[in-house]
Amino acid sequence: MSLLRRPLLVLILVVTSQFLQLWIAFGSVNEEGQRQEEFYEELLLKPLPDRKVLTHFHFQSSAPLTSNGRHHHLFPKAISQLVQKFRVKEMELSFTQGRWNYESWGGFDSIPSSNAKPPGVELWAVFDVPQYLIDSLWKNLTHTLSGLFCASINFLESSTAYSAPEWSFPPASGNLRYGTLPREAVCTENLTPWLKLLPCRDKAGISMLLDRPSIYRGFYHSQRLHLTSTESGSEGMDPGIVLEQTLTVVLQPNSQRASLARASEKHIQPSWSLSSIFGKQVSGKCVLAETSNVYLLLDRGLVAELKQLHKENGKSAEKVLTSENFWTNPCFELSAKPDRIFIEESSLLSKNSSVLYKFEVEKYSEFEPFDLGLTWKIPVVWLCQQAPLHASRFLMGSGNERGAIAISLKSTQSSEGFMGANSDHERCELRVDVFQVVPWYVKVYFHSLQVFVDQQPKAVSDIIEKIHVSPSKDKVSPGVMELVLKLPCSVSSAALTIEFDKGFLRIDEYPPDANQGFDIPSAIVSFPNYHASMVFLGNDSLNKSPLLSKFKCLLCILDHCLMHYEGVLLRRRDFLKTKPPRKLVGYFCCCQSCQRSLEVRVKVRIEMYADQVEGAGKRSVKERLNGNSFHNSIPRRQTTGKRQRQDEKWEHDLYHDDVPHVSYRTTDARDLRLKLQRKSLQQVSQSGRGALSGVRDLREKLSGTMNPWPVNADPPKLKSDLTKPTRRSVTVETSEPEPKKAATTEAKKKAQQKADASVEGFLQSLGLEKYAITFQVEEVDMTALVHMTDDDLKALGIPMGPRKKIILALE
Amino acid sequence: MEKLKKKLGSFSFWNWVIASIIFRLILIYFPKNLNLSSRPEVSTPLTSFRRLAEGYWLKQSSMSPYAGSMYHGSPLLLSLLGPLTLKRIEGQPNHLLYSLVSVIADVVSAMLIRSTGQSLQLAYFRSLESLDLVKQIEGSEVHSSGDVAALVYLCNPFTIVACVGLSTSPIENMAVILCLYGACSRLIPLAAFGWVIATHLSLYPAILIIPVIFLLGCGPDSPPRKLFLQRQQQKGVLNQAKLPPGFSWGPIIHFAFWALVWSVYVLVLCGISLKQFGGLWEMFKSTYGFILTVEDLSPNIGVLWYFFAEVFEFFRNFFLIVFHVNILFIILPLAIRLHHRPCYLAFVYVAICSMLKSYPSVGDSALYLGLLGWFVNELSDMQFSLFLFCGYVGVSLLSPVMHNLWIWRGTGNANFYFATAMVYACLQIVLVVEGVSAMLNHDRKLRSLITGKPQDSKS
Repeated sequence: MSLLRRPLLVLILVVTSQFLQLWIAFGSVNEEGQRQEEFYEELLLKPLPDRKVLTHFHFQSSAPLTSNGRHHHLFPKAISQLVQKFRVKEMELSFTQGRWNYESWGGFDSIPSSNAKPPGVELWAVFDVPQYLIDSLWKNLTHTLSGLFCASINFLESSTAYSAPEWSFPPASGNLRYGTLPREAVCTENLTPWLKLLPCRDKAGISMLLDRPSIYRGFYHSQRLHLTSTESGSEGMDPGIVLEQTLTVVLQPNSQRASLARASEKHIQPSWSLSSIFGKQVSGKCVLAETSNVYLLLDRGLVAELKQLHKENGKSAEKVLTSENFWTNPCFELSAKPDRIFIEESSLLSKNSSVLYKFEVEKYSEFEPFDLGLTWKIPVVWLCQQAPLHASRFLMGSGNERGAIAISLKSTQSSEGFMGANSDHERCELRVDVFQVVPWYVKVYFHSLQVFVDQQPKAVSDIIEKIHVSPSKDKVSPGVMELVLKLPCSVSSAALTIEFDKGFLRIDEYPPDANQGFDIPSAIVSFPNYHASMVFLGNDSLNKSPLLSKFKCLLCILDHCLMHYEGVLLRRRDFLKTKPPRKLVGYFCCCQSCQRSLEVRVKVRIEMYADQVEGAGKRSVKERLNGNSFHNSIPRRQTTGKRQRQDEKWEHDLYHDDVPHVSYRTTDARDLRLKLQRKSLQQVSQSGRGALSGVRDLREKLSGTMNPWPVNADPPKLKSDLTKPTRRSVTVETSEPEPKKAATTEAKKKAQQKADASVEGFLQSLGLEKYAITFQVEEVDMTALVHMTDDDLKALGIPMGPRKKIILALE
Repeated sequence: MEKLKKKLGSFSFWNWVIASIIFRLILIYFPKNLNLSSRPEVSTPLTSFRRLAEGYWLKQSSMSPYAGSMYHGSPLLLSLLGPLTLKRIEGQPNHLLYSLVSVIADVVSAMLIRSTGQSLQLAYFRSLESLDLVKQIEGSEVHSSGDVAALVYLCNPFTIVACVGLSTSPIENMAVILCLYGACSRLIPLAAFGWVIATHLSLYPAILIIPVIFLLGCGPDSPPRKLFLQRQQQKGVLNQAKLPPGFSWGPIIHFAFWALVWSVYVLVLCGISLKQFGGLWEMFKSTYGFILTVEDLSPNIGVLWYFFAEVFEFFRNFFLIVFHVNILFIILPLAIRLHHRPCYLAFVYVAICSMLKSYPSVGDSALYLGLLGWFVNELSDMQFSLFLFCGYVGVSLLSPVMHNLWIWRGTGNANFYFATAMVYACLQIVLVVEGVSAMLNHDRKLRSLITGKPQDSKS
């Protein structure tokens, strides 16, 4: 045997060493042949015409896609696992609050086109799997993301919440799923996990600026996560995962100056600095980042306006632009010297070009923090570049039966200049893509689609070049409408209307606050023929910046460059009032609690607790359960006041200091039950014998809820067991005359307390302190406990295990 | 004199017919059809014109008409009526052709009702003659029940509203009437065709197979067979020839054969038109399946929508079964009790169905009210007729008001509207109960006339 064993061992050794060698070889290949994990951090600042500032944080981390790589240096592990597990090819998740103001913040830049998102949560993902697997992957992905970002993204799991657009999203048709949650509130809870994905978190580098209060004070706030994974087979790209995290915030700088300044200075744009808008400064770069830059962008309109002002001042505009000290010009002043200035390659589309200042954070340190400030010297008024059409959406019709959705497109005058570039000699056409998802309870009649151009009804086939519709199925899937419109360039307004019926929901399908209405997800209006690209003159060093390469890259994605989210959400007020009167619901609940539905019973209990705490104003428990009231005869306010006082005292007595706080927590439910019992006792004593039967009834009902732990084991049996003793105790106690009871309460309680303490101590030693209350209710002291048999304990409602333990300990 | 009276009667009949047609045309020329096509009383998910148009649009854009949950009707209707939803004539109302089709369907149904009623009356007189009861009956005024029924059907506001509101119920009603007409006039292929089409369009007429079998087996309504035997016993002669014919199986087998042929024909047609959209299974699921599992909870004049909006999910299937079995439970006792009057049985079935249907509309009520006209002579002693009439008028006035308060003004709630729906259901129950008991009383009256016992008015 031993002879045999030895060669085997040798063989195993040989084989494993071979494998190890292979592994090492692979590892070295990986390290040499492929690029390392990289992380870039950048911040773009841009003054907006309406006295606000756009701040756009851009973090990008990328990792090579290693087959054996479970370990990452910089790249968040959670994301790489997610990509590998769900085979995500591309994914975008955004949390947004507020609406992007297309009119004053511009709609033609790369920033609004990729970062202006609909309010709430938007998620789309492309999967690299066969069709039939996608839905299940999507469901798992939503659950993972909701765990990762502390948001209710898991609601996108249900098939009524997501859709599969055919060609509105260019990356991959068919393999894409798209879902939105327009109602989702966004808060720091979502931002913290997002920041955790950054290698430096918010402890160093540009992300230090992310001061929560100032971010959430902003007018618009959109936090986005874009994920692209490329397989090794794809063209020209290194295989790997690229994670792009952006945070776009529109803030209004505090303009203290405006208040004390002269009237003429009110028109001056407010001056701002990083420390004034964020309350923080940047003290050096994140050491893990490849580059760490801050950019200040003056858009075309602003630059043109500045040139105009210079001309008025008698200087040559060209000179000012080219001169290096453009940053200290008579119009405004920067508090830091830019490291580089880029001027946009003047494109064919427009004469004007925007200017970009670059600041390298690297140079700054903790002792000399970076704080970029912009001080305006003279009032400047300019306009941001607008998208060719301004879209808005309306809900038409009144009433709860039917209505119509109207999407209206209005031409923005400023865009006429760009139109010319696109026009052909024979016929100039403007292509507009519209994508709209409606929830199933908005039952759209697609045959009622009407198109109006310049307020004239047009034949649908003339304007709509392509249409894809997937009608909604009740309670199964939402309706999706994708349109490609061809509008004449001279169009000044266009409108689409489509009629719908409002569906009727079952009572359990209502959202918790149905009177706020339902939100219809935003429509997406995009202009595929317009390229919102910016190419800056400069050397190759620019290419290294992912943020600026994004500006360029929009050229290559022709189809998707300008996306126009309409912010308008339709709130469907008082959508359906099939809600029955409360009585009816109560009736149903009652039926249930009479049967053996545990959840409902628990609910009843909770309600009662709330009642007791709140006191007088609400309906009594009895009323809720039975409908008839025995409460009416009692002066209610007085009763509750008394009860509360007594409860406090009782609580104080019961939980004297040597009882640990934890046990107080665990006996919470029981404590409630005792309170209830006391309450009912008092009521009985005040309302007299007549109501006794009613109390019994109530107690019988309550007895079902008394014992939350054993209920799981065998509810119906326990219930019947429990009712008997409790009832007995009621009758005994109530038979006592009232004044005598009041007089003796104090003494009795004290005595009881002593005995109970020992029982409690005894139970605690067994680890059964949660049953202490049960014994206390039955006034079982240590002497009584010694004489108790198995059956007695059973009658108390103690489950089998503890019962045996107690009996064993007593012996 | 009598001839003149008859002439006058028929003259006024045609006048009324023309007047009702003109009235319909006037309403059609109102702008937007007075919005009748979107009233919940007229357009249920099954009969709605807009849903038909949507289904046709989907089909035209090469999608399954049942994609999405808009259209739940037959694919044949889609092929026949679908093109009419798009056709527009300049200067004319939008859906003129479609409305004209509904008007024609109404008129044809009325004519069929008339001739059926006449043949029923003829048969009834013949049986009375054989009982020698003609003289006793002649004392009271005798109406031409065919004319009455046809006019009731044509001039009923419910029929007019259903016709002008562009619902498909005129077509469905026509199929039912065609079936009864065929059975009464013993045109077996026609009866089978009507039955198959009616069942195909709205499922519930399937139970009409029982009255049709009785009609074909023992002929139209007549007093109970026992009476004839009693009469002949009184006379002391037993003449088999004078007895009404017993149950004969020949026509029924004939009917079954034709029903089979027609249903295969209809299924093949449906299969062809749905070949690329999921086939027949898809059709059954979204027509019959939609009817049986009350999926659409939009309000209508029935009672089920409210109930199923409230009921807990885990009870839903149970109550679905309960409500549908309700209809089936009523079938058998009524069939036994009223087997000698198959047409009346058909009326009772239609009334019960329109009450317990998952998506009832006023078109269904129009049908059974029209059929009620056939028995104007027999039911002359019916109680509560004034009460019922007032009830119907009241409900049909109040129901739109409540709907308006709830849906449009938002000052009321669903219970307001549901209250009128419940009253309406109660009225229908009273009508059926009273109608059946009046018919049974009528039979008792005949028997007492034969036996010569003093007739007690109510027994």
